[in-house]
Amino acid sequence: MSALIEIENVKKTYYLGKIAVPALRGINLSIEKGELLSIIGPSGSGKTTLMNIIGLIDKSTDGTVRIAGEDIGQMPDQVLTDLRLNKLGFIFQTFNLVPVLNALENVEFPLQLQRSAGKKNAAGKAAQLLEQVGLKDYMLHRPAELSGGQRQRVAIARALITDPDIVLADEPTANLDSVTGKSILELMKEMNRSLGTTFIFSTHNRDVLEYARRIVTLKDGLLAA
Amino acid sequence: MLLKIARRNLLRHKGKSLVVGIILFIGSLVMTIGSATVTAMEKNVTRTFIDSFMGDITIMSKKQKNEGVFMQMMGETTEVMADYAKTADILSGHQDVDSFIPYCYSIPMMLAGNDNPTGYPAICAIYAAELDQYQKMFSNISPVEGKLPLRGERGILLSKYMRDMYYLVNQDLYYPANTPFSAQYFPEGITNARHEDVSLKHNIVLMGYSARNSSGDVSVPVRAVFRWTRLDNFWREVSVMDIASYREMMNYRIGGDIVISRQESRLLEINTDNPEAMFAEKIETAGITAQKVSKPEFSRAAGKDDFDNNAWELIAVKLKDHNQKKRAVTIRELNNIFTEKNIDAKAVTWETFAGAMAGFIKGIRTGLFVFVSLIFIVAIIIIMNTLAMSTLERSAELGMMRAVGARRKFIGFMLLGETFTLSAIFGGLGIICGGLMSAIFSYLKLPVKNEMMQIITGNAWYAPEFTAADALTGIILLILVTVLSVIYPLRISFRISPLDAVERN
Ligand SMILES: Nc1ncnc2c1ncn2[C@@H]1O[C@H](COP(=O)(O)OP(=O)(O)O)[C@@H](O)[C@H]1O
Ligand SMILES: [Mg+2]
Repeated sequence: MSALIEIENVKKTYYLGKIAVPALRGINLSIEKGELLSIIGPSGSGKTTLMNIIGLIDKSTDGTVRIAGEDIGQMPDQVLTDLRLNKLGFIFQTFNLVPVLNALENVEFPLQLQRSAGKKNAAGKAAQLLEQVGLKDYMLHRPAELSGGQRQRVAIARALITDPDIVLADEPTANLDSVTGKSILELMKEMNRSLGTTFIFSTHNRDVLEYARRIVTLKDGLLAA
Repeated sequence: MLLKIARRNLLRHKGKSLVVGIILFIGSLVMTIGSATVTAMEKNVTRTFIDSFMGDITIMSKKQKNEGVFMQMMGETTEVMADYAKTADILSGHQDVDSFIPYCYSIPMMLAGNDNPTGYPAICAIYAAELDQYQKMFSNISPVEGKLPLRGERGILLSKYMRDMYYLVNQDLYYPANTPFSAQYFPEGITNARHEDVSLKHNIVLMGYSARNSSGDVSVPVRAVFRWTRLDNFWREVSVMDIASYREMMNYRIGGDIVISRQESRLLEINTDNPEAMFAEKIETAGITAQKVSKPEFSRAAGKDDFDNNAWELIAVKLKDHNQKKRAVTIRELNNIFTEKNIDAKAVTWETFAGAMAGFIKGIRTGLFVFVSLIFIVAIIIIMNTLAMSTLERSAELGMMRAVGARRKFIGFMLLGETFTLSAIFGGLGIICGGLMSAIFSYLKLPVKNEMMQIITGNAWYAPEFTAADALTGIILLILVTVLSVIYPLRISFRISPLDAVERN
C-alpha cells in the first residue's frame, strides 16, 4: 500500500525580481495514514512553503506530490479546490475564522460548501465537534469574542468537520502563549488518536516536540535526517 | 450561508455599505424623478402638440415630397390635395377619427408697402383655415389686441412675436384697425419709441408661391395680434389667416390653372437684401434662375368667385385614441384606402409633419438621458472603487475561504450577494422615495415661470408623473449599474488565491 502523501524531489524557487530564492531544494518525504508528524525548522527554513505545497494551495517548481496515489501536479484549480474541501483540513497560524460567523457557523462552514453531503446535520455535527474541543459554552460567540486559544480550537473543529484524511497546521501555536499552545497540540494529538486523522504541524519551537509522534527537521530548504 | 455571510458583512463594514448605499440611493432617486419628469413632459408636450395644433395625424397630397411640411423653408411649397372632398368623406366615415380640419400652411413673402421703400422684404409663416372651426378643434389662439374675424370675413391674425420682429427689423408697427394706438404695441422693453418714427400699418401684403405654379398677392387687414395659448414658444413665428385670402394669395383657382410658368419654384430664396432684384427681368442668385416675373397685379384683375373652395393643402386629424400603436394601425388603414381608391392623399404622424420640432422633444429627452448617464458613470466609478478596495482588504479572509475549499464562484456570488443586497435596499428605497417625491411634486404643482422650463415640464407648473414604466426603467437601470460596478471587483476577487490566507513574514 502506498503512503497517503508522497513527496519526491520537491523544489520551490521564489523570484524576487531576477534573484532566485530557493525555498525548498529537493524534499523527499512520505507520510502514512494516521500519522502525527511535526516539521520543525527555524524561521525561513521553508516550513510554510512545504505546508502550502502539501496543502494544495501552492505549486512546486519541480518534483511530484502524490496524494492517495494521485499526482496533483496537473490537476486544474477546481479539482484542487474540491480536494482541499473534501480531503484536507487547515489550521492557520493566524486562526483565520470568518469574523461575521459565530463559532458554530464557522465550524459548519466547510460542510456548507459541500454540495451533497450531510448539510442537514451540519449544525449538529459542528456542535458535537465544538463540545469535543471544549467550547460547549461558546458556540454562539463570534471570533472577536473568543481568546486566541479558543479561536484555534474552533479552527481545529472546522478542520475536522469534513472528516478529512489530513489536517495541516502551519505553526498553529505561534500566536499563542506556551500553555495555551500546548493545550492546542494536546487536543490535536487526542483527535489524531481518537479519529485516526493524519495531522501535520510545523513549528520552530523545540518545546512542543513531545506532542509529535514523528519529527522531520527542515533546514535551508532541505530535510535533515 | 452565502447570503448570511454577505448580509452580516454589510453590517460589519458599515462605512463602505453606507457609501455605496447612499450613492445608489441618490442615483435611483434622481433617476426616478428625472424619468417621471420626462414621462410628464412627453405626455404633456405630446398632448399639447396634438391637442392644440397638430392632431395625431396629418394628411397631405401624395405629391408632397418633404413630409416635414411644418419645418419647411421659405420658398418651399405645399402641394394642394387633389381629392379633398373624397378624403374628407373617408375621414368622416372612419371609426378611429374623432375630428379633422383642413388647412393650408406655407411661408409667403411680405411685400414692403409704398410708404416704406427701404424696408426689408420679410416673410410670414401662414396657417390658413376656417378660424371658427380651428378654435373649436384646437382653441389655441388668444388675441392680445383685436378680435378673431367672423366666418367669411377677411383678415390676418398676426402673432405677437412676429409683430415685434417686424417692428425691430423694419420699424413697421402693425396693429388692428379700429383700435386706438397704444404705446403697449411696441415690443416689451422698448419704452422710448416715438410714434412719429414708426410706420403704423393695418394691412399686410403677402405674395404666395404655390406648388401648382400659381402665384398671387393679397392685401389683408390685421384683425388681431395674438399669442398661441399653449406652447407659444413653438408656434410664435406662425400667423393665422382666413382661407379665402390664402387661396387668393396662392391663386388657387378652379381647374388649378397655371398663371405664370416658372422653371423654379424656389424663386423666393433670393437675396433678401436687395428687394429690387425680386422684379428684375432675370434673376440669378445662388444658381437659381427664374424667368420673367412681373409684379403680380394679375390676381386682382380676376373675379373672386372662381377661387377653388376645395383647395386645401393639409388636414389635421384628431383620433379618438392617442395610443401610438393604434395610430400606426389607423395610418396604415387610411393609406391603404387612399391607394385603393386612387385618392391623392397620404397620412403621416404629426411627428413626421412637425419635422425638427418633434426632434426637439427627442432632444430634451436625449439631454436628460445624457445627464442621467453621467450620474451613473460617476456612481459606477465610486461604487466600483469602494467594492474593489473592500475586496482587497478582505483578501486574507477570502483567501482562507478558498483554502478551505470555497470555489471562485462562491466568493463571486458572495460579493454579488453583498452588492445586490445593497442595491435592492438603497436603490429600491431611492426608487420608492423618487416615486413618492414625484407624487408630492405633482400634488403641489410648483409653478414654473421660465418658458423653456415649461417645455420640459409641459405645463406652467411642475408635475412629474411616476408610472409603472418609470419604476421598471428604474429597476432595470439599477440592476445595470450594479452589474457594471461589480464587474471589476469581481475580477479582483477571482484573483484571490488560497495563498492570500497565509501570513508571510
Ligand atoms: N512569496 C515569496 N517570495 C519570495 N520569497 C519568499 C516568499 N515566500 C517565502 N519566501 C522565502 O522562502 C524562504 C522560506 O520561507 P517560508 O517557507 O515562509 O519559511 P518558514 O515558514 O520556515 O519561515 C524564506 O527565505 C523566505 O524569505
Ligand atoms: Mg512560516
